[in-house]
Amino acid sequence: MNIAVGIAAPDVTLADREGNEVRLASLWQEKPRVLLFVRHFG
Amino acid sequence: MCREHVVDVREEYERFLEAGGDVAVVTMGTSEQTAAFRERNQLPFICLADPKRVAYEAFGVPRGTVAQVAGPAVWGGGLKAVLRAGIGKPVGDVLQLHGSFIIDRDGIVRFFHLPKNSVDRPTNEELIAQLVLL
Repeated sequence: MNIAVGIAAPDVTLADREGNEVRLASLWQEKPRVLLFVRHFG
Repeated sequence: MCREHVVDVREEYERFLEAGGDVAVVTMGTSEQTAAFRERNQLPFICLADPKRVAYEAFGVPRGTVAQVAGPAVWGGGLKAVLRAGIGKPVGDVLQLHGSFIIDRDGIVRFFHLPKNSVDRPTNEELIAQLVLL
């Protein structure tokens, strides 16, 4: 899928830093959210 | 570059909050690596682990070519990033590029930036300017 302005953001489930599942959609329920994907940890 | 990006955002995090938004980071590491990354960079916002790159794929965050990741176009910014943030050992896919998105309360993508190379990214000003509109 190509991302574009105006489309619904993908909602996938990831783990937080303690291993708990987090749905991405929960991140933007209350506030608009800047989501940054990092390239690596280097 | 991305360490610099998250550090830049961290340094002005209050402005993101004042603009009515918040920030989250997705890494390619495990939960443990993500916890270490968050700690090392003193990030106050939520950091999520995506070692299988499910979200990277879903959002279309690209892998780059070697030239995009390590070519002449990135040397200046890359050197700056190294000087600012220190050198670390890469974890994950070294050809993976980064990406920045803003999603509104209805779950709609309102802004995105996918890079031309490993040092191409939006400024805090650009991101905050988008947040205040939402």
